[in-house]
Amino acid sequence: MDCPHASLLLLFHRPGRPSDLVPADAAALDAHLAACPACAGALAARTAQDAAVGAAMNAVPVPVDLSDRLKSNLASQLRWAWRRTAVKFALAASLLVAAYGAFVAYTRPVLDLAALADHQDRLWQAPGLTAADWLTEHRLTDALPEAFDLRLATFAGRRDLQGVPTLALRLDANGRQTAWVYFLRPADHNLREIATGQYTSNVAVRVYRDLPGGWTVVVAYTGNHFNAFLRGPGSDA
Amino acid sequence: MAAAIDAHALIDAHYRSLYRYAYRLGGSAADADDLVQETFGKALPRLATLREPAHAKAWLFRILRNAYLHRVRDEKRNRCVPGENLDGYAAPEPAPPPAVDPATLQAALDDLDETFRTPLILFYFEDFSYREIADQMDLPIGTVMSRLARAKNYLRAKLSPGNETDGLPAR
Repeated sequence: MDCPHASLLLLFHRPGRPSDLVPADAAALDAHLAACPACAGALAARTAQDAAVGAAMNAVPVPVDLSDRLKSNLASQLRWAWRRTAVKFALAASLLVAAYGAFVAYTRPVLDLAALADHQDRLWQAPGLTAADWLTEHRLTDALPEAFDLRLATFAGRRDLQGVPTLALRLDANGRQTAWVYFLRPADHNLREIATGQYTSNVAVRVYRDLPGGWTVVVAYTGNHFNAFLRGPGSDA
Repeated sequence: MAAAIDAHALIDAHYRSLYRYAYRLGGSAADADDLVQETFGKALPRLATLREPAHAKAWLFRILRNAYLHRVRDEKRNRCVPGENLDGYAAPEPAPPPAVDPATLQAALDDLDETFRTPLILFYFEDFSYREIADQMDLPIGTVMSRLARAKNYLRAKLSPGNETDGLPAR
């Protein structure tokens, strides 16, 4: 390596600092400096100059409280950031609730009174047939635990049972005798503790478990004659 | 996977060097204070985006420089030495270095255009390689080397005895 080449490489040579020279060039430069007093002297002078300027460059008094102020600002910034986040979430939640409300308001079904009247009319004209159709439609025919007289049916549909819309059939027999037949799923209610029995002086309950389709049927009825809701001998309904 | 970076540890590790950098860039203690506050104010909310903790220092220096440039963007710096006029300062012969007065140094830096001042500051008081300085300034390393050489010659000339009253070079 000659002196002009070494001068060029010295531009990249920074004693004690990160170097941008590749290891091979650095080694060659070190070898040249060890053998060339002129280049070594130039480097020494330049390094000393740089050290003097570097020392002056660093001679900046830093405020003693700067660190504390920065940390205090950070805490304040984090508090504000938390508040801003909370406000954003509250705003987003409000918008979601409003959107859901609007969705419900605009998509709720229109009450079809004609269909309602038609259903009631069919049930009145042929209660047994209508109830049988309803049972078939909901695949409940096999789950019916007794031979109920479906001609007594006055309601077939969903009824709110302690907060759960539940498939139910109402039978009305002579003498204000009423039976509600509920078709229950284990997922909708906890059915483990329920049992057949006379629960009030007027109402008795029968429980039928493990019916086809996994149904549990509960029949709550008034009156003393459960047979009043069943088909009589020779009945075809 | 990058380790989590504690904000307080980040402040403790870098606030001094950032303050010195800001001071040398702007030449004012008040501005340096503001710039450091602004730098951490911008950096800390984005700390999660810093994947590599080892790059925190370069990241903070870049934020500070951008903040500084934003401040002076519209400011007319009539007293700056344009880059083309720096060529008049030849490299002095190696000589025993005189003690450098920090205030004189700052005055010389203040007269220098930012594009020359920044690499000079980074070169002299922080352990940035030429490559890192080039990355900081989004410049090719050759450009950084060239600017550094010209700025150092200028600085040596300004700091040489007998040059304290030198006027600015003709533009």
